[in-house]
Amino acid sequence: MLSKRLNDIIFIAIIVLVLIGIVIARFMVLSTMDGRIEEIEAENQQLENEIAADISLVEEYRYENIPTASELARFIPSHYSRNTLMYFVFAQLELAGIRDESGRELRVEIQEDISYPSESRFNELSNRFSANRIEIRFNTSEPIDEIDNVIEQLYGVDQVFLLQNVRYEASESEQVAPRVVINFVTFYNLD
Amino acid sequence: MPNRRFQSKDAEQSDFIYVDLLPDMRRPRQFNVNIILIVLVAVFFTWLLVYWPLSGRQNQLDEALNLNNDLTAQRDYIESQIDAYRIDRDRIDLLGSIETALDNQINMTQYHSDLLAAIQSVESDARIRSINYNASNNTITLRVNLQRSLSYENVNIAFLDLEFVANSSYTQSNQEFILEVSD
Repeated sequence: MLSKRLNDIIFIAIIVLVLIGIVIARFMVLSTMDGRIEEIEAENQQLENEIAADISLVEEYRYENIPTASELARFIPSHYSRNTLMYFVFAQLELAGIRDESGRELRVEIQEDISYPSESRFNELSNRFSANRIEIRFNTSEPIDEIDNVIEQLYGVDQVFLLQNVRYEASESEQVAPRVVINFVTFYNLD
Repeated sequence: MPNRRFQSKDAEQSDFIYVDLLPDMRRPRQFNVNIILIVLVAVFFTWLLVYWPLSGRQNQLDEALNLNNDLTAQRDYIESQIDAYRIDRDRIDLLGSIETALDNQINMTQYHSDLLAAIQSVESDARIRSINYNASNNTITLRVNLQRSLSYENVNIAFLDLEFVANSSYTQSNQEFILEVSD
């Protein structure tokens, strides 16, 4: 026969164990429930955002004609050919009055699929599209005018060309024509 | 098994054997009221700590699930409208990207003419010796031949008045101006 004191200790221990078990069960059950509620509420928030975006999309473009894929491809082509781009740039340079004549030392180089650091203004576009850099070099006695002509010519075409860098330095000697370097970036939607 | 006990008496007397033939039984436990207390405590605290908050959470979950159903139905309806109006998201995204790209076309021609005008407003015969524009860090580095040393400060002030110039500094020894272009 257990003593009364031992009996009381066992009774209290069982009560404590039962309470601990209930508290553990409470936290397990409620945390599972809370997790499920949070999941549903996050999903609801996402649905609300999607609905708001879709409503504004419908309101904005309900009656508006969105350019066709082929029309958009004129700005950011969906097919890339190095030779085509090279000939296109030479043609535009010729239209801007920059011909491959002696003394000009006209050079066009293309760097394909380049990426830009996150702080660059081209980063977002180069992440989405394939970005190609076109470097144009030539000698000229009228650097500012000819640089402006080249930029205006390439900005005037449908395909998007962005000016990345321009530099020229006039020689101390008047007889040596300044060397101009212009870098453009163009994009291709190759997905 | 019976509990057998033997007791010996004096040698003259006959031996008596006492045999306890009653079975060795454990007496049944007395009814323990503590068990009832434990069950009551368990039931009460389960109700208090688990069932009560759980029913509140269940209501929250039901509300969230009802809202989820409503929103899903609403989203499906709007999706059907998008399909009905033949709105193509991919083309809209591409159009947005093209507009973003075109916004990044720097008007260098305007920059050139404004810079030259600013320089020649200080010294009419001054000319730009070199120019370096970098779109990555949005700066223009210019080297300009100026006759008077005071002109550098005046040209710098003229540059700062230009709309597209966020900041301008110069080093007279290099005849160099560094301009930060505003977006």
